[in-house]
Amino acid sequence: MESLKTDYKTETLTLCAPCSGRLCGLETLSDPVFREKLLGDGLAVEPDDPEDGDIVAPADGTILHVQNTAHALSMQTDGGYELLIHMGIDTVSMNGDGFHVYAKPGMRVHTGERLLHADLNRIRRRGCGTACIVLVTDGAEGRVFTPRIPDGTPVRAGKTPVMTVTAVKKP
Amino acid sequence: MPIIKGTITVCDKNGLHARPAGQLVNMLRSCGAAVTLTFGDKTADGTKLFSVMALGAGYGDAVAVTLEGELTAAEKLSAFCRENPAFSLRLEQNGDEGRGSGT
Repeated sequence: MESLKTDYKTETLTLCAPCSGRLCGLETLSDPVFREKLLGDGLAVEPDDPEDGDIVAPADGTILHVQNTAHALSMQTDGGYELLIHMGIDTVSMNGDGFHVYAKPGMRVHTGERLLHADLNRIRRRGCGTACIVLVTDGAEGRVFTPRIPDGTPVRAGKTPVMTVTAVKKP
Repeated sequence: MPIIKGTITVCDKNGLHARPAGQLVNMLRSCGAAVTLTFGDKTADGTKLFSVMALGAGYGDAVAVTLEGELTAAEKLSAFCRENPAFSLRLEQNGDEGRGSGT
């Protein structure tokens, strides 16, 4: 099994935008799993250029796992946070069609490095959502998620810091 | 602490992707038990989302579950699988079966 750090994290994590577009609140997404933060808290960006489907690393870290349907992957940040990067809503049903993954498990990635490419027009034609979602999924308690910019703000992939995550040290 | 074993069958046609995996992991975290899932030659910590998704279990696949905790944890797992159409659970019946009076 993977040797992950499991202690509470005290390092501050800054999440950058995973794609270019506009920041949107998780609560605006159509999938209740994201809307109700069932998998974890985080951020979502709605791409605004249908020709730009590049999804990049929102932080420095290591790729843990790439879904075989190519629309989602996990990574661990250098500070020990586990992230899920999920491209689109209901895109699991596309079974990899319209997605190309560059990331591989074990690969070191830096903020802004391309992880996968999504064909946004194809996603829309299939009736799926195109928001890219980044969540902290390790479920540790005591996390504080602080947005750095308001919803609706234009963001640039890998360039715009969107959210700060801090953790309370275990007593 | 009792060890409960069983088999979870994935009934979501898209397999164990983020949504059902997240629901399962959330429930397992709330059980306060050590949970190991095994599928093929892969083993996952049932409380870690990426680990469960990395099993790569598809529609109709049977994932072995080993739960080390209180019997209430098995009851929670049973109730969860009854209510969630993405999963069906069969617990091994050895001595203490993981079913109580329910909720």
